[in-house]
Amino acid sequence: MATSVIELNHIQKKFGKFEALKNVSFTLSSGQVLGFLGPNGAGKSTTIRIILGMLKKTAGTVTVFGHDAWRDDAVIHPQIAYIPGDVYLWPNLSGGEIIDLLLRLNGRDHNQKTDDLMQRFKFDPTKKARTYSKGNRQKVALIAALSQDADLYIFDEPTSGLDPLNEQTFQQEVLKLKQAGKSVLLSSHILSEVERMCDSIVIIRDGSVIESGNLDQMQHLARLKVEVTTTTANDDLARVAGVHDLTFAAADHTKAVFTADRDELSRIMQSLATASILDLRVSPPTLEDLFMRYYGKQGESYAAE
Amino acid sequence: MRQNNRHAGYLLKANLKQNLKFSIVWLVILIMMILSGAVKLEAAFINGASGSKDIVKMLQAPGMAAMFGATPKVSTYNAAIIFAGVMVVFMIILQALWIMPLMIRDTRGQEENGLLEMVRARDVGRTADVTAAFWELLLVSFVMAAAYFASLLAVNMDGTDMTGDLLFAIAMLIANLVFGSLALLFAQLANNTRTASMLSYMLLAAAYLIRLVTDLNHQQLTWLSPIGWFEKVDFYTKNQLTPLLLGLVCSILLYGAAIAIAQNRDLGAGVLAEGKGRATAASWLRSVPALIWRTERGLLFGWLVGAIIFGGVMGSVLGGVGDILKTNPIYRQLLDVKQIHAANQTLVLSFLAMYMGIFVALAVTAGVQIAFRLKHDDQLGYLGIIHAEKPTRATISTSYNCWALFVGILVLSVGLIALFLTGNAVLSQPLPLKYLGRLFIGGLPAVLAFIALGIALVGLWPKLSGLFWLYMGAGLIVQVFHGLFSLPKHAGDFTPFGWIADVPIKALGQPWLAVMLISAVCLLIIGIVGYRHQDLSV
Ligand SMILES: Nc1ncnc2c1ncn2[C@@H]1O[C@H](COP(=O)(O)OP(=O)(O)OP(=O)(O)O)[C@@H](O)[C@H]1O
Ligand SMILES: [Mg+2]
Repeated sequence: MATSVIELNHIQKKFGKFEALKNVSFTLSSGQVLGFLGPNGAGKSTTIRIILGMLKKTAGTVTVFGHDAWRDDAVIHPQIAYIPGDVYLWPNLSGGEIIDLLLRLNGRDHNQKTDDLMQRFKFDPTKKARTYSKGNRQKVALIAALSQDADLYIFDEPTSGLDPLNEQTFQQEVLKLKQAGKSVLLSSHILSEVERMCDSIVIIRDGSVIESGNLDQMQHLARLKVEVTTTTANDDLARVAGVHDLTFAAADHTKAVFTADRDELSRIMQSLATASILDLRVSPPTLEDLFMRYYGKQGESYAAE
Repeated sequence: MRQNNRHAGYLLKANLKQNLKFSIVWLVILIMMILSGAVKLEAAFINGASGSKDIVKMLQAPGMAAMFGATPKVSTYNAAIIFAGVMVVFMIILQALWIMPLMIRDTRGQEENGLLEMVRARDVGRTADVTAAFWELLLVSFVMAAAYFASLLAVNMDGTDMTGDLLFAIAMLIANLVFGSLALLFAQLANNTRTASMLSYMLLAAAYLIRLVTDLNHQQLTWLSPIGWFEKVDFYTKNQLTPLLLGLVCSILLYGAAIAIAQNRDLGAGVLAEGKGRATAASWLRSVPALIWRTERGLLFGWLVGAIIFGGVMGSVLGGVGDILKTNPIYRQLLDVKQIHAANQTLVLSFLAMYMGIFVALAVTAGVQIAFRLKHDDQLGYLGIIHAEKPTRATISTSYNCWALFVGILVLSVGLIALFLTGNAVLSQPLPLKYLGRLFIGGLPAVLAFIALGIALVGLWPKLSGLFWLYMGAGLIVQVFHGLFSLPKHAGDFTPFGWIADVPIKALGQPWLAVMLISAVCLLIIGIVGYRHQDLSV
């Protein structure tokens, strides 16, 4: 059993009367890469700021490396590297200066890795920060975070301003961290990015965690996506138990797309067989499929099932 | 405590570098003020008794006492005593105009734009930003005080000694600490830089007004104003230490309060609450001018309230000002009632002439602030989405500029009317309405010309817009010190302040009126055309 790096227990956060987080609990184990997903305004950044000890939780407990996130931030922060989604810098300092400063603030120094990263991200450290583009400002935070040898990396939409090439470089760097056994919390709206890098995900919506677990497992538990073409019309399908979201692609109802519960598969197959199958494609849901359900309003009912 | 300030030193270094230019410009200005004040007064006193007597007499007039502070009552005056009497209030205000925005920028400013979030995620204490700002305050104030001390030693005015010079320098340092830590506290209380700055400037103005009123009438009450404390030191005579201790204790308490708040609050939050926004736009919010009203109305209300208070307070002291018998009882035997009334009125009018420049400067600041928002909103990218819509550049800049002119006019008018109404309520011999007319005819064109100059600068060279404050500040300072330092008669004529110097004693001359109105129109056009050709968001 791996030790837990971040542990959130029933976190609640109110801004005045507004309840931004209602009930957030999850654990990030050592060596895990955890994707943190949810629609806009769900409370991802709020949760991350609580983990970083910048916001005070209203109720619940947060520990990072076994320490209280608010009280013991002095112990926690030197081991953390953080990249915010919007990066703002001292306009009169150069990028290189700021990167060095950020490293020193955590007791590190400009190192070989820093130079390598500057090269890989094609970053010019000599310009004044006021002249950097959004992506270049982001690179400052990225390079400072990745060239620090931390135990925990927290990324809040780290690639929102990067071009695809730099985004790929970033993903490769995160995979390296994963191989090195580091723990990573990654909040992102780019699902392919999460799918490629994360072992587990936590989905949050309206301030509550509505799903969490191993990505493979979740895909396994979720319904299969079925596309089928038959010779005769397939109208019976609508009445078969375990068939959901049925739509017909052709007017004569010979082409159907639906999602199927795994434990009802044999019954569904029997029903299909009576219409004689011409073509059949069954695929596990992509993260995107999973996501659309959770993001939309029907997420509530789906989660309740 | 130490834990919460982790790595404040690194932040200090970054901030010092970030603010280097700003602070150096201010330091140069401040030191030049000290040097020229000392040199001028020393020259006046060296020239012999007549020059010095004139200056002392001038300073004892109510208008001067209101402007610079009450002159200490001693049997023989020397350059040093007068220097302190003239410079203390004035320097504290100038310094506050440098220190307060600096402190707010270093703390709330960095928090508001998100820099602090990234920094705080590193091993940086919760109050490190406040501490770093305070250290910067100490450091730059120390440099300033050392330069003051050296300048005073170098000029070596008649009546100075090492103790007095040192005390003056230390007092100015402590004044910085008081207003700096006050700004630090406001930056923690408010959850945005605008409110924090507004609160700071309002307090500064209140401190000035309180000491102004009390210096005229009840000098023991001057203790109520933090600026007044430093007058009470009586430099080069009594050299009291109590007020300095008071200032020091007060700044430590203010700083402590700021730290206490910073220790316990959420990033991005303040203590003062913020209301909820509305779900849909008001029906009138459908044009660029309406947008400016929506975003700037808080500022405008603040200015209007400020103008009413300022005008009201200045008006309320006119009764005391226009009492020649109080200043010099011998007149009772020399003059008949009618002559006394006339003399009183002359006193009031010359007092008003002195303060006319300040009224104009306040109105111009209000207006130019809005004109400069055009550049500011561009830089922050607020206007990007509007440029992409139907309104043209001309529409956008005209909207900002007309608002700027309108706000200037409004602030001046409200201030003058408040001045006139309260003034006539307290004067035994009310001023005829024609003087209000003169104030308007002199003040409005000056306000318009100044604001239009700001507009032209933003339109043509947005990066140089800071120069506007230098130009206006220099104009105002020369005008204020004009009589005292016996500058050449037309020394102040490089700005409209010089042109309206005699209003309302005399009506504004036609030529200057024409010059100001025509240049206002031309500058406005230049500003709008210039903005059309600008690279935006630079
Ligand atoms: N300081 C604050 N005061 C009041 N409400 C806040 C504050 N900060 C965040 N909120 C609210 O809390 C909710 C969660 O915000 P948060 O920034 O955590 O969302 P998010 O999941 O990161 O969204 P996004 O994907 O857009 O980044 C939002 O409804 C937001 O309006
Ligand atoms: Mg967010």
